[in-house]
Amino acid sequence: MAMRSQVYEWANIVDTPSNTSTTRRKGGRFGSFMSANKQYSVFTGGVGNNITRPANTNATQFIVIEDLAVSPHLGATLQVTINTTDYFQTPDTQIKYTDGSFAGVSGLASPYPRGARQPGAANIAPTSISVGEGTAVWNTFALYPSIYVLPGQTFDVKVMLDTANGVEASTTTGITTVTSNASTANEFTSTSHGMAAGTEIFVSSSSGTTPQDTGYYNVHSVGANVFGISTEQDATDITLDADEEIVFHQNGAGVACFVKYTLYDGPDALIANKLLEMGVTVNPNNVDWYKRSLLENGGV
Amino acid sequence: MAMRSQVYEWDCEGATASALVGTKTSIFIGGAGNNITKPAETSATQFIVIEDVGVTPSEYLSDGSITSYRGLKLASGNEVAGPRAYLQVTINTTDYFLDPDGIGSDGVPGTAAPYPKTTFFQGNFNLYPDVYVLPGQTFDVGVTLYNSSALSSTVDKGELQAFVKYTLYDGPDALIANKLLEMGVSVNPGNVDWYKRSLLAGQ
Repeated sequence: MAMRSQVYEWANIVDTPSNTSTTRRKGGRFGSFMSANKQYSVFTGGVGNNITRPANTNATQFIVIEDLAVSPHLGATLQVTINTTDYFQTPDTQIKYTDGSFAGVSGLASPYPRGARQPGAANIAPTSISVGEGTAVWNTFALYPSIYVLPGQTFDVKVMLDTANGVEASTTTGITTVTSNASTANEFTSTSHGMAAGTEIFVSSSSGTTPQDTGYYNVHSVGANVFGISTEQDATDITLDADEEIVFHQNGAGVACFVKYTLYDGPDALIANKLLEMGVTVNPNNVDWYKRSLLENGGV
Repeated sequence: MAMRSQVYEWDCEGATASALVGTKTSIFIGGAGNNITKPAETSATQFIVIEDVGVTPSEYLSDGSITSYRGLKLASGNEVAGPRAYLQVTINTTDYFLDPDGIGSDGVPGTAAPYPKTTFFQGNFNLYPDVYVLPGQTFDVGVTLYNSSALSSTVDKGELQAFVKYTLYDGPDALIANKLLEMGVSVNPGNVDWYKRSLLAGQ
């Protein structure tokens, strides 16, 4: 097992919205919240599926990252960090643009999957089948030369969206009809909570005279003195009490990224280092070539 | 019959979708879909090179009112169209694909290695270097999925499929394949033929 083709796929999908990340994948359907212009490590970032510790190579390993790809919507980009150094930079050698977004490979240049639908605009998710139907984004970008992670180094891959995705856990208090406290506490009937008719929310906790069950709800109507939600199984509006308080999460779009790398282990890692010293590209063919050279010269 | 290009296609038709979630199901002897009679293995005179793998793809989207996306099911409110399936190769008891922390992963996602490949799912992954199954080893290919809502409760034909392409070297060609492996030369039909020509030229 000296050279192995390896892959890592990350997605912001979790089993339940109150669980923003898991170390192993679980069955689930909820797109975790992600802020705009914030980098999330796909290994240990606390969103979606993660691993148990930061990715690193030990003294007898050598990694070559050969491909990167990310969903082509929501302005997603990927950055690779070796130890503390970001690989992709702006032409003025910065890691951020003046608008606050980070440098990196965009999903439009290296889409995941290859052939994904083109969103209506670069920064939005494809919310309707009529948007971008029939389009297929193929890769403009190829990661060549590849990225080397030398023995003993840590590495990270970070995903960033330039548009916020979903709504972070929020608490809303309110009532369904105007009462004495409507002006101060009736958040349901304002629009500050960001919910609109048609929004699907997950209520992770609730308190009040008649607390709601944990689960998914649909928002039916939002307006002056009106706020109606129902369970997904029953379209009848639920009457909310004046002291009702819910902690809700709003589903974000699914975002995923993919990393392909080759892991050289043991003697092949030593050869990879040797190739690097010689200025020869590290790939399986060249490692094999070096081995053959050793055999022909009786070096081993 | 010294070198043979071989394929194995698996269709999970008839299995109970909810029973597959989060569990690695062998496409050879997992009890779901079409299976074979015993675990896959090489004899003392066989050498197998697995060259390509694929599984039903998925795509990550926004939820919407649609129920179908590019031939994949999309349950209401779901952010994933398709089964969210992964494919792992196991040699003897060792998983081939690992996470960067060294722990066995679910494997290659169908989104990166789709089966079938279409205009909309071209694939980001190619299995290179190949996976070698040496003489006397057993091997298995397992599929894990996480989105059963993209399948019928009893899986319909074509909803979840996997594909494995491998070359079987038998008899003298398996010996040559072993020799190439010792020499650090990639085992493929071209190099096996090259080695044979070298032997003949040396006589």
